Amino acid sequence: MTDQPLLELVGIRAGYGIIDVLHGVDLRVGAGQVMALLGPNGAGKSTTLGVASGQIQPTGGRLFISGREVNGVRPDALARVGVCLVPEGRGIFPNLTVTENIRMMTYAGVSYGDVQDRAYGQFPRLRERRRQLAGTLSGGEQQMLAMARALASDPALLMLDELSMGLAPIIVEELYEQVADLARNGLSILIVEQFAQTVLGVADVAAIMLHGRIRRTGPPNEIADELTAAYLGIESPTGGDH
Amino acid sequence: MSDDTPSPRLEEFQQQVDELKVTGGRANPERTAVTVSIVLFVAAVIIEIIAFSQSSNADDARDQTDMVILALLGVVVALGAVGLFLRASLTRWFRYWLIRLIYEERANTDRMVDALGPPK
Repeated sequence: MTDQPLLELVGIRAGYGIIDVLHGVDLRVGAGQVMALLGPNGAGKSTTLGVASGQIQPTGGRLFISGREVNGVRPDALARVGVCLVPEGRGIFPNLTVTENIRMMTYAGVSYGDVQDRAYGQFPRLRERRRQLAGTLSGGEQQMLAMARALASDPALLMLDELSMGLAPIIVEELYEQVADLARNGLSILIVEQFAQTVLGVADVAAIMLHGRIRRTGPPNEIADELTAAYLGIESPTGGDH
Repeated sequence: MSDDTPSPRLEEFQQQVDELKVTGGRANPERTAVTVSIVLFVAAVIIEIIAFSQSSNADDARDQTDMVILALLGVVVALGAVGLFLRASLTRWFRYWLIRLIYEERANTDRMVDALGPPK
């Protein structure tokens, strides 16, 4: 793996209007690395993804993609080059069919045949549901469709926001098996999760985020030990590296 | 995990990132525009006050003409400030409405999906 991170946030500050949410976030995702960004509700995890995908302009700090500072880049330009975000909840058009949702990804310049091959190859269940309205799919199938849409554009960096939200544990496990499969193929992945157990089994490195700052970064097994203390606001005996 | 040699996809990604057009980025540009418009308007008022006081003290008609021109410049700056203020305020307002419409549409879709019942 090369030393240059695929995604790097340095001292990022951002928020919504007059409310600051991120107070100097430092984060690095290496090429081919899977990073889990964990933290309680309101910690700033989704805002971090918003900044990394260009959807939220930072008020301070620097955003690097593949070593190049890209503050101010348009989110659609980032999406076209292969920085792809699967947003919290659903990143799909609920009143379009599965096929129509997948067809929408041809905007990235990928042929419809290729888009279909990638989507249905990774998630065969979607082929069975291809004529169904996306909004009437089960929660797990909707997440599969969201991921299929993301993968159709052949991303280099995939960001997943709360993949497990509202899903049964068995479905979450199935989805994370797919994530692990993607990681084995060298895709860089940044996963934001509130509940950590499943994602830590997939991640190479994990970080805890609290109150708009990265509190601790380290191997998943170490982070797992400190997670409960961090969520409850108890100081960790080992301290933090940020 | 990959080895030291970057994959062809990563090389392509690196090349595409290098070709990206980057502006440097500004968070909340409308807020900046509103602030600038207020500053410009205050500057215009100051220009008008200076022009008025100087023209009152001037005996020579040519000096008074200079002050009339300065006053006109103040009016132009004030009009520009008002235009910038309206433009930035309307952009903020319409953005707010767009976000509201998107959220309402999403909530409506959720209600319709719930009404259709559980997936088969």
